[in-house]
Amino acid sequence: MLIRRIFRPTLLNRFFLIPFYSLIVSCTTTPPPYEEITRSSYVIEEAQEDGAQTHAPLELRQAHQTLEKAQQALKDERYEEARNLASVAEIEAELAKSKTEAIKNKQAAEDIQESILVLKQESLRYQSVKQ
Amino acid sequence: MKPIMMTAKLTFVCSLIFLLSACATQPHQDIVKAEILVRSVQNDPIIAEKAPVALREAEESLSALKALESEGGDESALQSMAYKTQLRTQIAQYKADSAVAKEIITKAQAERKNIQLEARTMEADLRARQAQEAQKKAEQALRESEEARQKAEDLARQLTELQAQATDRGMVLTLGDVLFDYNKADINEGGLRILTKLVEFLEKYPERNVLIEGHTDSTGSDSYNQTLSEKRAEAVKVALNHQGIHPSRINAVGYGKTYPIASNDTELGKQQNRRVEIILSDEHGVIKSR
Repeated sequence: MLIRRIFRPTLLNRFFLIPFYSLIVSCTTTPPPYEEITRSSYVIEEAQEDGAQTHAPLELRQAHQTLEKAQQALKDERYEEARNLASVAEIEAELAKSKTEAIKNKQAAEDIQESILVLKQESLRYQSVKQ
Repeated sequence: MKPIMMTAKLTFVCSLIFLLSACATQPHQDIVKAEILVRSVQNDPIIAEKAPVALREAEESLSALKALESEGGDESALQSMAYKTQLRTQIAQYKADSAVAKEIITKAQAERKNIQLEARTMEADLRARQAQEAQKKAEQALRESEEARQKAEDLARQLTELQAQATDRGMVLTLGDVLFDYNKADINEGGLRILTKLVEFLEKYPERNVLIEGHTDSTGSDSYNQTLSEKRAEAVKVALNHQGIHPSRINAVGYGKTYPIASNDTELGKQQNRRVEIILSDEHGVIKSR
């Protein structure tokens, strides 16, 4: 009964709680961004596996550099900056990845169209031989 | 109110407007650029169709940037957000490129499959036709060889029936003396029976001609024997002609006693020498002359 009375949602109680809220909020925004950094490293790895080294080397290097900056910021306990840099690195890696895929797909499309051309020519020659 | 005051007030308002407009253009160049980029990808129908997710991400990024700007976020945060928005528009462009290329690939694969199928069908058709032709040819060859064999067999059998003998001049059929009436050129019934078989043979092999040679023994004068041999040969020719063999295929000559095949000293030998020889030509109608 006593506890209930203390925490009864009166206007006064709410005012008392404000400092706690702000404490909680500040705590949640400043933890070290391990997860963000891990995720951007993972996307960079994916881009490399796709062949970004060949097809989007500049974009890949940019993502690497940003990730390194993020890791440095993490080391220096500049967590907010580290988190932001990590998210930038992730998008940069995504760019490298999507560019790589676009180039590869275009190349594949050209290859198959080329092979169809060859097939058609063969087919024509075959028909002329047949007649 | 004095005009000077009016002017002062106007100047103040103008400078205020100028200041405000300066404030309005204050937003970072990067933000403007990001917005232009997002608008341009929004206006691209291919990106809207092929990369809707990436486009939405770019739009959301722009919204976040605008929100940050209106909240008065700090310079570095704004710059970073603007940069991310620009990256998002590039990603949307690449994703659309990928989707377009993939569509081309899918269509091309289907087309390639069709072409290959067509080619295989054509090849199979050709093979089948070639096989058919080869078989037809083989059958034809077999039939021809069978026919040739049959023909040769028939010929051999017929010749055997005729009791013809192979000599270096060809097949020779000999009508003995007993098939003619004594000292005459008339063929008796036995002789006619043999000639009937010969006619059958000549009808069957129209390319073959005959040479009829009359021979006698040495009894009697040369002129008698010559005449008898000629008459007997001629009689055979007439008989053949009667039975339908064209005279152009028949040559009749008499040699008298010139070519005996046995001794004229004995009665048996003489009988053997009195004969008519019928020489069959080769398949070209040619007969070696004596």
